Amino acid sequence: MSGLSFRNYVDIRFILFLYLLHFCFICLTVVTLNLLSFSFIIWLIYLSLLFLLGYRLAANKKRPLALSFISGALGQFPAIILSLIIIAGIFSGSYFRLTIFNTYDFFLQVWHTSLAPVFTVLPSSSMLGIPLYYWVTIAASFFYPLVFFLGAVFGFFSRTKTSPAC
Amino acid sequence: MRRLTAAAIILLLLFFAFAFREAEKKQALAVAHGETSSLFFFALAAASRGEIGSGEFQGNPNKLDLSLLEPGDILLGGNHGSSYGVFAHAGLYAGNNRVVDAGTSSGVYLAETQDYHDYDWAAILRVKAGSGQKKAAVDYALSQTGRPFFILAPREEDGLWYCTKLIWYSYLLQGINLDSTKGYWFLPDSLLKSPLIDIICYSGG
Repeated sequence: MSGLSFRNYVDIRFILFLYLLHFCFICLTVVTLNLLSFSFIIWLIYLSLLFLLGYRLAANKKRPLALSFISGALGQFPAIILSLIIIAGIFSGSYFRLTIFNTYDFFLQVWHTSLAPVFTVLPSSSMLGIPLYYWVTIAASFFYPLVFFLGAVFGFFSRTKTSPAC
Repeated sequence: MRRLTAAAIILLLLFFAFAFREAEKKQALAVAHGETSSLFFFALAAASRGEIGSGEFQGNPNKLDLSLLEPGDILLGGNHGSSYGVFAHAGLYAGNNRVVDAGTSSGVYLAETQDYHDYDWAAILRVKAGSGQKKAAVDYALSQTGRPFFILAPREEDGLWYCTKLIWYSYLLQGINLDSTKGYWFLPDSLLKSPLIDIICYSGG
C-alpha cells in the first residue's frame, strides 16, 4: 500500500513549477498585450506547454494517471476555488448583491491574464446577465486542467504502447 | 535546508513589514501636503491595512446633485477601503440618466446615474471641451458597449477596457488628452490632476 501514498499522487515541486509557469505567462501576456496577435500566440504556447507537461508526466513516470489529473487541478487550484464561489454566487443570486464578488472577479481575471487576447475575438453576447468573455474566464479554470489531463491521457497510452508491463 | 527556507521567509516578512511602514509614512506625508501619493505607495499602504480592491460602500448614500450633469461629464465614485485611490470608479455621462460604465464581470455597459449615489463619496467632473467633442467622445464610448473589461489592459490597445481607460481614450480620439500622469494605468484619481478638467460638484466623505 505504500505505493499509494500522498506523495505518489501529489508532486509538490511539480505543482510549484506549474504555478511559476502560470505567473511567467501572466507577465509575458501583459508585456505583449500591445501586440494582440503575438499575445494570442503566447496563450497558444501556454496551452501547448500544459499539454506537453501532462504528456511528459504520464509518459515518463511510472505513476498513476490520477496523479496527472490531481496535478492539473492543483495547478489551477486558486482559480477553481474562485470560479466555484462565483458560480455558486451567480446561481444563488448573491453575486449581483454582494460587493465582495467584485474582489473575486478581479483576482480571477488577473489569474487568467493570459486569456486577455482571446476576449477581443469573442462576440459581445451574454448569458444570465454575465458577458461571454467572463464565462470564458470562469470556464478557463476548468479548461486548463483538462488540457493538462488530455496531454496526460496521450502520454499514458504512449507509455502502455511502448511498455505494456507498466 | 529547512532552516534556510525559514530564514528566507522571515527575511521576506521583515522586508514587507518595512515596506508597508515606509508606504504608510509616504502616504501620510502626501496627505499632509495635500497631494496624491503614487499608486505604488497608495496600494502598499492600503494593503498594510488589509484593504484590497475597490473598497466597501458603508451604506450611507452620498447626495451628489445629478441634475448638474451634462453629456460628456465624468462621474467619480469612491468608498472607504479602496486600495488604488480616493476614487475607485469612473463613468462617462451619456445623457438621459445613463452612464457608460465598465466592470470586471459586466464589460462596458450602460448604468444609471443613480448608481453613483451608492458610493461613500462621489464627484462630477467637466472636461474643458467643445460640445461637438464631448458628443463624439460619448458616441465612441457608447459604441464600445458590450466590449470586455480587462484591468491590465495597456493604454494603446483599443479592444480591452477598464472604466477610466475608456473615458481617457474616448476623449483622446477627439484630441483631448486627460492624462498628465503617464503611468501604466490611468486611474480615477488621475483625472483630478488633469488641467483640462473642472470639478463641478462633490458629495460625501
